[in-house]
Amino acid sequence: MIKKGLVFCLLLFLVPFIVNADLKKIISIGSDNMDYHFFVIAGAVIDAQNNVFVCDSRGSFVRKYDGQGRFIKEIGKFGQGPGEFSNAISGLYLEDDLYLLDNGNNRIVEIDRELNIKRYIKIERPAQNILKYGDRFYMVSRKGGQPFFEIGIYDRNGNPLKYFFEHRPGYLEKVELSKIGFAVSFNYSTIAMAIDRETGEIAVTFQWPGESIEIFFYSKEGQFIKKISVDHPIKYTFPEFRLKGLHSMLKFPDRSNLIMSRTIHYLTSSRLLLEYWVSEFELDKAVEEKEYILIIDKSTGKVAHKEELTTKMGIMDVRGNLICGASVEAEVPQVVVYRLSI
Amino acid sequence: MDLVKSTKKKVEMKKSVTKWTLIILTMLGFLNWGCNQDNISLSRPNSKNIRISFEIGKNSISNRGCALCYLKNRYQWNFLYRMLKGSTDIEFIVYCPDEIKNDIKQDLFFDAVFPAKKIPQDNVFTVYKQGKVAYQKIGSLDMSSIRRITDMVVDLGF
Repeated sequence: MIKKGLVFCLLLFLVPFIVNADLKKIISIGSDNMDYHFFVIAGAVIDAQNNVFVCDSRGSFVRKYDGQGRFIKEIGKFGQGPGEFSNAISGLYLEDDLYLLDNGNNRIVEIDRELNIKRYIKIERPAQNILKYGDRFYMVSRKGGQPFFEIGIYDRNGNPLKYFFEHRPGYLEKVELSKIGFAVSFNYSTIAMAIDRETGEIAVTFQWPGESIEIFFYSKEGQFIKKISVDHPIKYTFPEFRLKGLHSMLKFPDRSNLIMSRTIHYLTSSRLLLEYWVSEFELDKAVEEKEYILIIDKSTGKVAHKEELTTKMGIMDVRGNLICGASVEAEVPQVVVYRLSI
Repeated sequence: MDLVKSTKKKVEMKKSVTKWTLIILTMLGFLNWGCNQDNISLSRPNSKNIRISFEIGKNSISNRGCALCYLKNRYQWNFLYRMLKGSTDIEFIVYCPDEIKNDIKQDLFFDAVFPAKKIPQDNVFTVYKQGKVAYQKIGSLDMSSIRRITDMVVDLGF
């Protein structure tokens, strides 16, 4: 009787953290037709009217599609001049306007939703991705000559205001940096970040998580707020043996996993969505790769839902219940939009 | 007697000259044929009405070990091939350094690959119509250039 009561209490405790979710693919764009063909999709975002905006780094273009995935407009060609983009585009963010991160030309391009270029903003160093909140830009980049990534806050003209998250907070202090320790920190220090469109709060996580998924929260001014540690939904040991360049020194186990938290997004102010890849290896050969989305409750740090994606993709934007990303499973890359029902 | 000897000598000399002339002419003929063969294989006169060439530039080849890891415009070129190859009167030719020919054969679509006589600094894409340059793009083959090439080829009646 006591046992049953305990189980009941445990269930009552768990129910609020478990979410039933359903994913449905609603838009898929990508074919050999000229207006629908992509080479390397560098960014894809969706607005409140379900218009999809896509930038392609190899094609040097930005395109707009309607909510049914029909082509509306394309701008751009390769070059350094007005209306031209490099082939090193590495991000697209949508606030009221679109913000294209054109690393090859060292600039952010502000574009309205009818795809008219409004202005160019010079940037001092290439960045990995771009977010915007109010009149501030947030970008992940590396200081010249430094191995670790950091987050920069820039004003509306691209002038740096502050850098934060220079290294894994509290991590390097604990680790004695042997040759391997340094390489671990270096190779697995790539970070992903997201911004809460409501409050401007910033969430940062490591793309290569350790024994647990650590998520750090910062204010829009770059002040540290808190950290949560989320348990991996599978049994996982941080695989030091996968270090690039040190393979010959370390023996591969017969079977192992490699996990990557590629991107992080705010679903709501209290829930985060994590793009979570699990690759299974036999010795040094990948035998299976699965992609999940994890819905994480921010207050408890628990995984509220885990869903495997049927089409593997890089998630590029989450707006409301729509998830927009790029799939490379087919011969021609595709932009796909899922509706998430919770 | 001297006259007979001299006539005999003259006839022998004539025979010898004729023999050597024939030998030299035959050799020249062979040489000329060989050179023509070489020209055919390297510069390829227009067997098709439209020829699109991709000269791989030095900037695209970082090292021999992993040539195609760094080969710019690979996706764009293969897309162009897929778009236009429906017509039998267009041929796609790749010019590249001899040492990466095998890598190229695995990852690029083409009708013929030839060793480049001179390697340009950057990639060069050229559309030839009946042997004359109709369009040339140096650097990145972006979507805008692909649209131009496709429109041009369509306008030419393909």
